[in-house]
Amino acid sequence: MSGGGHVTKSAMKPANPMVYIVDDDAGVREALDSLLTSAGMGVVACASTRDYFRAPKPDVPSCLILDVGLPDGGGIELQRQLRTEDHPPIIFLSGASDIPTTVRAIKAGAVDFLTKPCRKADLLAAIETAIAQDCQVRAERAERMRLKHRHSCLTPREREVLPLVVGGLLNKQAAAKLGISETTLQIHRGRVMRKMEADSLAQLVRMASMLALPLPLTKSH
Amino acid sequence: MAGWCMRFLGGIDRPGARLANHGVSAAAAMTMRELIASIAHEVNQPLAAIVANADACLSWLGTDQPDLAHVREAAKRIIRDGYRASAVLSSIRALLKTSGPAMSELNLNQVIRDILELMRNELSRYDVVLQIDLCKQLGRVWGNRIQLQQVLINLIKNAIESMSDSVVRPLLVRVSTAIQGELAVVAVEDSGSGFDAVAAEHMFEPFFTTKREGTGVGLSICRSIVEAHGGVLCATRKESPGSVFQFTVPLIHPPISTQN
Repeated sequence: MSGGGHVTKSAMKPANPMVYIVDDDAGVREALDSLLTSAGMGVVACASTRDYFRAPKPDVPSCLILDVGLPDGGGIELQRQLRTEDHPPIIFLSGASDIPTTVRAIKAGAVDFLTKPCRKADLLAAIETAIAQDCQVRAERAERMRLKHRHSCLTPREREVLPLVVGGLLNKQAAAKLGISETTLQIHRGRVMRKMEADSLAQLVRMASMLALPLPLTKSH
Repeated sequence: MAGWCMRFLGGIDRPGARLANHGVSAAAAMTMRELIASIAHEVNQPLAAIVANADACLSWLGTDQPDLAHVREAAKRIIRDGYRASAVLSSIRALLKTSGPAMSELNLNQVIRDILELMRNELSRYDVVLQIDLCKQLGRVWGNRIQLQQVLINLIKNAIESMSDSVVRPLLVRVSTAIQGELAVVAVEDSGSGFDAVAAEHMFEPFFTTKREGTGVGLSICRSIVEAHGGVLCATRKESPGSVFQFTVPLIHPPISTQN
């Protein structure tokens, strides 16, 4: 195996979920590759964490099957490195189930911790959970991207109006805060709703929370 | 399991052995734990692969039009991994055998000459120039001829393999003996690629290997044999490319020191 992992043919179909395997044992790698490919998944088998980082990552729901005892730093070490960035959910495979390692891995967000040799049903169930989790994370991420884009289309004034409105201020109070007339504020508010594609105030509030916009400290009375 | 490990590491009847007994048992217990963990891991990997391959087989067969090419490949991998697990166990048996037969008074230089004679073909096949530099005053040692020859074969084979990618000529292996206080020192030197820091730290551990086809037990067996003889096996990198593997065996009649 050279460079960034070996992509099987079925990995090319974009609809298939993608499973990344990182295991330094070639025998285990090939076997899992074949097993998961037979189950209709795209597989990228990597011999090391370095191979994994180099491997092309198609934009599809995916998960990562990590051997705990990897030589270059170990699977748990890789999990620690990955925690800071976007990465697919992790399933750990281990030769021996040692409780402290298992607890540490699960606490750090691993979907499952399986002992080798593992049952096919257990492995496929873990992968299904991981892929479902990734789908949700990806959907949220995509939604956030869309909202960010919409938010970036707002004028500076509209960006001032948005937090005041979702913060619960009455139009009159918000207008006073910005030193503009209530009618002008209503016009801005209408444009914000339209540009953010919000059907209701409740929806706009949810969007603001997804965007983590800072809200005004003043309470409405 | 515990029984054989202790016997293999500590129980050889050897007059003149220099190791303190309590030291041996602590080291033996440590090594035994590590050894068992290594064996478990090395056997479990092929087993995990076999189970996954068999599952893959069933999965490939389970469709309306079974993909027989994939089935065949998976079946072949099962056979391969079965042999892989078996090879691990064979190498354990080889470890066991190191605690075998009795020791006798040996002319170490002669033991070396005999083995080099046996390996002459091997050396010339790989285009290796052999330098022999044996100390004439080297006295006799107490040891097991077969085991010491096994150590030498291993070290010389390692030396040859470490030079397999080398473009520098000549490929050189130098075997020498010397007296160091009460010890006979045997050194096997090569002009190969040497070894890196990771290898330096782990090369004597069971199942550590840098070779494609290696089982990783060679050097750990060598060290066990040398230690059972009351000696030490160590490795150093040379300034010029290459490495030196050196082991000691206590002399039966060490020369009287002129300095103290």
